[in-house]
Amino acid sequence: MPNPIQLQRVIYPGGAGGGGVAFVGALDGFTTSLMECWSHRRKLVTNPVSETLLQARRSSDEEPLNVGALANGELDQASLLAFTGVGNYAGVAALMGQVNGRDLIQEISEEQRLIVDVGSLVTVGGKAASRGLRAPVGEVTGGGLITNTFTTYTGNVLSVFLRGEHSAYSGWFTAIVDAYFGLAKNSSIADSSARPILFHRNVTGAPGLTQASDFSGTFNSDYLISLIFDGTNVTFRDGTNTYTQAFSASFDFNRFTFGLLNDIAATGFSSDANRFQEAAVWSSDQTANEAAIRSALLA
Amino acid sequence: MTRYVPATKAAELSEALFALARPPAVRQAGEVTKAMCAVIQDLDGAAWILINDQKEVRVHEEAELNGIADLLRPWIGHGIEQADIDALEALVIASRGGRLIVYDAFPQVFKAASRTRAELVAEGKLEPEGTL
Repeated sequence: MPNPIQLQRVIYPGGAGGGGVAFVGALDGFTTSLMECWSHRRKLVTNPVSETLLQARRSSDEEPLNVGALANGELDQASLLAFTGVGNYAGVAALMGQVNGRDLIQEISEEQRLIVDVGSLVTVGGKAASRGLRAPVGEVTGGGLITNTFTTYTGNVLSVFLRGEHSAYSGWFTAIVDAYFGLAKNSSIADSSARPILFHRNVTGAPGLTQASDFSGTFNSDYLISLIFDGTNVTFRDGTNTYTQAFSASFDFNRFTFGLLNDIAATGFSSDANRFQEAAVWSSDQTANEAAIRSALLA
Repeated sequence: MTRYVPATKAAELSEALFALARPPAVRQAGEVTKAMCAVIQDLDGAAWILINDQKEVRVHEEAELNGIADLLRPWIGHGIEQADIDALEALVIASRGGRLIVYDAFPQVFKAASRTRAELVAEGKLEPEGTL
């Protein structure tokens, strides 16, 4: 089924900011087996399938706006902020898949992550990002973005890079993730064998990655985390630490999720102020390129 | 505070509430957002719609009660009367171009059946936090 957002792609002619230098996508050198990438802040490839980076929805009247990039590839922040208005909020209804059009979407306004918060852009490293919804302890919110189901890959090798940021929030589950992400087999959260894999950071327990077990120890994120399944192990790495555990099971990669969703929340999570900026997924082991990809995404 | 309101057609109600602010007739092609509130299923499989009792929405100048009225009519004689629907319709019309606190507009029969998350946990309908 085609994604509805694909019905209305917007071509942006670009604007100021290019400085006369031809734009080159940060991931242009790594497009082999690149399944998808998304970004709030920029075009990650020079020629994405859509010139729209995201669809925002402003809180004042629920009206949407497709936001594209300037000539330098960066999000047209000025248009977004002008559209949202002083003191208002804007949620992310869709974050476009730049390689294959597998857009991350959230159809429910109250569940949409915020990209403009009281008139100010949500940022990571000074660039556009979105944050999850902050709820009082014991209440449930969402803040999730999820792709339509697609079936393109079954295997045990996969590489995921994600840039985000967590911020402390008093409560049981302080900062779940820089941006929670999951690889949900059949998206059936209730089935423990098919639970999504989570990055999480938990004040009461070991931070790390959850599926069958947690990584132990602490990690300090440089706001760019990688998760590489090489067929034998899964390795989680941030700017400081590396954790590895055996993981050779095959999985169906058919959906991608960022942020908390209702069904997750119903099983016991409250939300938090996690921030998500961009991510990319390869159907291959990118260990050899890891340092180069990290450098490209941090630039 | 978020109230959990039982609703057999919770998803449809969420869409109907969003339509107050953004009637289908004014939506653009490719517009992603189509519902207002989160919907969950409890451990018994029953649906609950999550309503922040302070949530205020803009009521579009072309807003109609249609979708909400359709959902309420089966409740006539079961805690709701036609007069309640008529009053709600009058409220929507009076609020066009203005703003409305969604929860305030809910019929009392639904408010009385609503719960907080803590109450649902205490009743065994939701798991407590931290149990993944």
